[in-house]
Amino acid sequence: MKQCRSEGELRSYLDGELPAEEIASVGVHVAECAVCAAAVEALAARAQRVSALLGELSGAGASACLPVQRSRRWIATAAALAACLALAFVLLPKRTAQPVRPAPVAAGPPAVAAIPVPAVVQPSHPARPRKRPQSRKPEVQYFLALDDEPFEMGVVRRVALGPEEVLADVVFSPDGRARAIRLVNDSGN
Amino acid sequence: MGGVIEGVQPAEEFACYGAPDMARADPALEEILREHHPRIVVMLARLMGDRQEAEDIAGDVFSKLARSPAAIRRSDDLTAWVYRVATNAGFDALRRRSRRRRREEAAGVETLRLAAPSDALQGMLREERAGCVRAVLADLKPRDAQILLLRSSGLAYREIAQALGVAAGSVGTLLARAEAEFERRFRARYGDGI
Repeated sequence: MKQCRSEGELRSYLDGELPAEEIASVGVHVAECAVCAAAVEALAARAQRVSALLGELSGAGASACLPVQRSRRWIATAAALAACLALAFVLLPKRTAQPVRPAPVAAGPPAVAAIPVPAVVQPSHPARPRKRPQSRKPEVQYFLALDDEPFEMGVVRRVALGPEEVLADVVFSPDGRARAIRLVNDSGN
Repeated sequence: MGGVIEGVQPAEEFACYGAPDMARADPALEEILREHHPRIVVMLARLMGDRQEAEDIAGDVFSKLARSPAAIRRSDDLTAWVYRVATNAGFDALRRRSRRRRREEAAGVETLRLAAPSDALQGMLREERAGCVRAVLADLKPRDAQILLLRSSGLAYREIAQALGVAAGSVGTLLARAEAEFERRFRARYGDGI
């Protein structure tokens, strides 16, 4: 996990005022760092309260320039991620002792995913020593949308969730928000 | 027909036409006037709750600055300095308004206001809440009050950085600190009902 982000970076992230590549990077970090996630939530709540008070100056209610919408979406996304994580613990078989644990984040460059999902995963492994009983059809693994807002393009990053390091592919839209997720089983698919 | 407006311009742009001509005395001030006068008016309107009063204050500020070229040349960051002077002028005007209101209350004018129709009561309550917010803003460091007003007026970080004379990368930090300080002082004054 990378070093935690500063308060200023997180506040700028809430307002969408970071450079595009930084937004994605901070978004990934916040998704996997509980400390920064809590800080973002606290900053968003305070910004909303202060915005509402300053809105009294114009007599028009809350100001429209603060990241109320963004923070709410983030909370919804975080809740969906947490739900997926809980689902992973229930559905995935318990890992037995393995000689090599997979790296938390995939080393390869991120792939650009065309949305709408599902993505079709081709069996791209080299020949394995284990003999397969018969030829398998490519598995279709569906992404779970984290919200109902449509998006056309995103970046897929493989991340490890929680202390069990459950692998998942997360699709981030260009604004850095996590938009869809699918769990990855131990064979890497 | 010469007087017909053929395009649509944001309302703020028209504020430039009401800006004082005296700024032409200094090219640097004239440049700031052209670029920042609308934003300063919006910021002051937010603070004062009155667009006309905001335009008057901004006009006064630029007129005074135009008459003191020595002060302009001494300033390292003229833009930030102009915003600071305008903000201070806004708070001065608020203090004068507050004193005037106290005198009016003493003279019984407030009694007449209370006798107005019921929707006026809502307006008075709203104005009282806005007064609480203004009081806390006036308590803050000028830069904290400025950044909150500028952000709440809809300025982007880049524009705020220019107005405050700071790096754009530090606006997030300054904004987060200003919000924390505003909330702390508001709670200290008015309790936890924030």
